[in-house]
Amino acid sequence: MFPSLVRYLLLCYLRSYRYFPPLLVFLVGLMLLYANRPNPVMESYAASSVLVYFVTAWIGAGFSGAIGEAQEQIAAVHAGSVRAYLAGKTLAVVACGLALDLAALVWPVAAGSFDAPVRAGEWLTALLAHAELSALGGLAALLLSRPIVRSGSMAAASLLLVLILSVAKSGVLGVIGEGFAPLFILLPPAAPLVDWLMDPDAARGMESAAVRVWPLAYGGALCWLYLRLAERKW
Amino acid sequence: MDTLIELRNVGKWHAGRMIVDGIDLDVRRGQILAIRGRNGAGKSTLLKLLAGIVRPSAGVVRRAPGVRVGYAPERFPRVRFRAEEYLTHLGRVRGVPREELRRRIRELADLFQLHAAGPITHFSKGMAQKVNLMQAMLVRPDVLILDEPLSGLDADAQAELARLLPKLGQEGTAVVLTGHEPGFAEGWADRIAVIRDGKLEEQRARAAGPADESDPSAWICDQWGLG
Repeated sequence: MFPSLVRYLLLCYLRSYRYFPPLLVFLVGLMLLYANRPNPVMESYAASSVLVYFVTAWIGAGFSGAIGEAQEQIAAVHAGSVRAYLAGKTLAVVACGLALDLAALVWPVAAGSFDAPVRAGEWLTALLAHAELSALGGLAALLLSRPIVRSGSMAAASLLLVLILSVAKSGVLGVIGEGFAPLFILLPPAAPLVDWLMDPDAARGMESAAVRVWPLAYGGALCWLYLRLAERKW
Repeated sequence: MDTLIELRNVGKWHAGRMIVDGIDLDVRRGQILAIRGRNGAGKSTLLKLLAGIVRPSAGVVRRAPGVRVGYAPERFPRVRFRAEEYLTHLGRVRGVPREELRRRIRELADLFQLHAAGPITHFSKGMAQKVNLMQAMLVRPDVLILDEPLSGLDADAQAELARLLPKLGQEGTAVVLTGHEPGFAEGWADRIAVIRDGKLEEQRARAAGPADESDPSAWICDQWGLG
């Protein structure tokens, strides 16, 4: 029943053709990223992880619109509850992100764009970071879209701000001063994940574990918040 | 008569505006309940509350355990699926086994005389409305909620629906439907509730009915001015 809901929602999204602009940007982004070769493995993966973060957020932002309010209501009745429907939609957006993650990971390997073979550990690290970043992007977009944020322009502006600030956190803090760091604590932990990909050995022990686990916990909290708020505002 | 859905002092506010307020309503097995009111009176919100897709801001909505609800919204946007494909997906979401689903979709296609193979995006408004009604009836619901079901249907399809509704009632399905046409549901619905500015102003039982209670469809068609 639940897989049927996710499959149906993915089909609705695909047939709306709303995937076309984000997919095009994703493909052009990958092409530009690997236009010159050879490329360093982890630095390249760090760049592609930022790409999937933004593109999955774009997909998440357009997902509700692709299905339409009345069809969402019909699907919610058939799913048994609004909460079940929202959980299905969340999974569908995360599944779109996973598809992008796999493409981002396999593309450079298949095209021979790296300067060295990708080791299993590197691949696993890259897979985890891509999956976490795409899920964070998709969830942030869902949280900042209908029915929680009903104004389209407000939703787009706030999502873009959240995405940019969460990735460029250290750069922004460098300009405005480290004293503002507490303001960034609520943003998705995208920057530590990208830093981890750039230099997987920089963080050790507890710090390394925190970099991996914190985005999962944050994503879980984001998901819970989305389900609660969206159900209430539906 | 079993109560399937019960609303007690239910209110709904949206963006600081009251949509419905202080609603007390029972939906009973086998009963046809017509909700009348002007556009913007709160009819659609009331149906969404009954369907469970809107949470009340105040009051309580109680459903009998295991009650199955079918819901057809007023606006049915055309989706890029063929009718059979669309209904199959929704049936699978409901958890209906494939073979049973195939049989049910065939039954509904015969009932609504809808055997078109093309995508729903190419359907006329009336054909799309038939798909809307078919999806609501996909699982033989205990409560069938229809928002402006006559909208977009031609006279023949309206007559088909008029024949169908009492039959569903006799089979034990509760039907709740809305309309704003003058004379809508007068005399043929088991109960009529009138909603005005979000408040339920009056609920009354049927004033006069068909002479032949076993086949009220011809009488209903006559009430709707249908052939």
